[in-house]
Amino acid sequence: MSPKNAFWVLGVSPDATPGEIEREGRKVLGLLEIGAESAKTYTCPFGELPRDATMVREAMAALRDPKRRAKERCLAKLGSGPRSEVEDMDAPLADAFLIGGYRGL
Amino acid sequence: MLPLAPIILLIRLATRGTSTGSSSGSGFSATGRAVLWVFGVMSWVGCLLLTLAAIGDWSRERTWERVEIVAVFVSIDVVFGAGLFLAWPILRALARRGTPKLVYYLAHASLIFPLTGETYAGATLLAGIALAHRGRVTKKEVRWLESRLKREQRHLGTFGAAYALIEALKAKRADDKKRRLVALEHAQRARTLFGTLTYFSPRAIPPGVLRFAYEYLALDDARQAHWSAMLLAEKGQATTVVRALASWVREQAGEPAKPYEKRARRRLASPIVERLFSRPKESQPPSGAAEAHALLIRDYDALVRGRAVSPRSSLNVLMLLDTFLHPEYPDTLLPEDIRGDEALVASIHEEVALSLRDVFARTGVPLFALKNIGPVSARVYEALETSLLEEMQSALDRVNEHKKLAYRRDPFAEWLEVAYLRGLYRRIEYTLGPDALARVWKPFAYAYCNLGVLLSETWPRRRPLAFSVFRLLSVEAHRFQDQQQAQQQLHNMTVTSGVQ
Repeated sequence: MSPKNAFWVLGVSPDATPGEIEREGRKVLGLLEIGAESAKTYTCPFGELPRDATMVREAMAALRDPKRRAKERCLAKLGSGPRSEVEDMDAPLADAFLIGGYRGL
Repeated sequence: MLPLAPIILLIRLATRGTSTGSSSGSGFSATGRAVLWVFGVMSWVGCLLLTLAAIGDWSRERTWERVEIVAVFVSIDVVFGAGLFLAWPILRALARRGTPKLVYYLAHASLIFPLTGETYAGATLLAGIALAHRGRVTKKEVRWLESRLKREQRHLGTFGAAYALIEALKAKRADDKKRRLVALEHAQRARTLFGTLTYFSPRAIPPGVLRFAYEYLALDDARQAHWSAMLLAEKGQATTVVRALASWVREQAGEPAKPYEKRARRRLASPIVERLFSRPKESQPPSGAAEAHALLIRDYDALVRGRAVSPRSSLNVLMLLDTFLHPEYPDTLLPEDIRGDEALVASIHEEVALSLRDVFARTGVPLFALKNIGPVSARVYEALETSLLEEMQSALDRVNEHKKLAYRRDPFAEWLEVAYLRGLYRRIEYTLGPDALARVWKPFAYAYCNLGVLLSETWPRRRPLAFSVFRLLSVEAHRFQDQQQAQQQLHNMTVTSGVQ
């Protein structure tokens, strides 16, 4: 799972059709062309990352190839889906430093 | 009559090391502050004698005037004595109130750590602890701590602890700003620097500072879910927090907690610790493919985002990826149209393995404990083995080159190098297991010993730091039954066990 997954760069669902992917790609390129702020970043599970026209073109090219589209779809879906809510016996203690009263660590 | 014997003993101790020029000089060094502290102690003893005389006078003639004199003398004795002998515990308690500047200047005034002579480092450490308790540390405050620490001339254990704490504060700042990789790098540095302190000679690190280092390491281990490391601190080195956490770890492992650990838990009465005790005692395996997939999504996502995941869950992720990305598994995540394409499936395995390589190279994962190797885990193992061994080789080459050129750097860089190499060695052990470690032992021992000798024998000497190098090598030499190396390191430890 890479933050540069083509589906995330274009901001389309992994189940989108080739037509939808092409339309969304052109739309983002157009927005980048006119300097729209909203198009300069994209959101993925890693957070908000910067995006430029080269990345968008590469992503579109990758998704035109059916095999690469299948691969990218598989990788994009790997990080999405219902998450387990089970509490593990040995899970990390995120607020461990608060036990010692360390708010700044 | 003045108690001359203890005064003479104190002066002798304070001047030991410089007059003999002993390479292994025990005792503490005669820094100006140490001498000043000895004179402070002498004055305090004098004041104590005057107090006793005043009490004697008061018992003969009981007047209010005499009571006032006794009260003044007793107050001076208490305040002066507390400043001389109890500076660390008092200022440590004051630091909890989050007043960095106040504890910094009070630490200077009380000549903190006169025996190791690290007043600047001690004051900086206390100021750092105060900031750590207060939270919301600014860039300006971190820079102030750094500038104070740079003034330290003696680079013993307290210096290392202050340096490690500054790195930990930087890690928290970066994490708050969502700069995850930078935060991980600083946190890793802080961890290895604190870890180095646990190999220090007791002469070169005050007990309170060592206990603070163990507390930091235990809390960091809890944050990373390295629970077994919680039992490493001995009774005298463990603070209340460490003892309380250790009691939970013992309970989870099915062994009874020690009485002092139970007392620590009661004394701490922390809701966070109590939450730990309410966790399930056993892990339930997933009942079906859907549940296993939900577990995979949760832990894989946390891993690639750089969040902490327990070693057991990290191994589960690898096993689940092996299963769910196998084309013949009935509930495979691979789309039907590509399952027959071996090259494409392999490229998916490759990409998933790559996404985990950097994560595991930083945090480590006990890969050697995996019983069944699949397409993803095999790639992760191969990538990690290559990456860690290459990293070690280049680090050792660099050290050998420095030794050849007798190249010395500032104390920050040298502390970091010693800590980094030890951390890398431990990461290899943790990730690839004892067999892989045995392969790197000889070249590591040679280069790391070179680094220790460089620190010990070239100017400016940093023998306490060199001691930590030799101590690690000594422990490992015994483990690998390398008698020659063990004897050599024992000799090196004797030479560098002082603070000069």
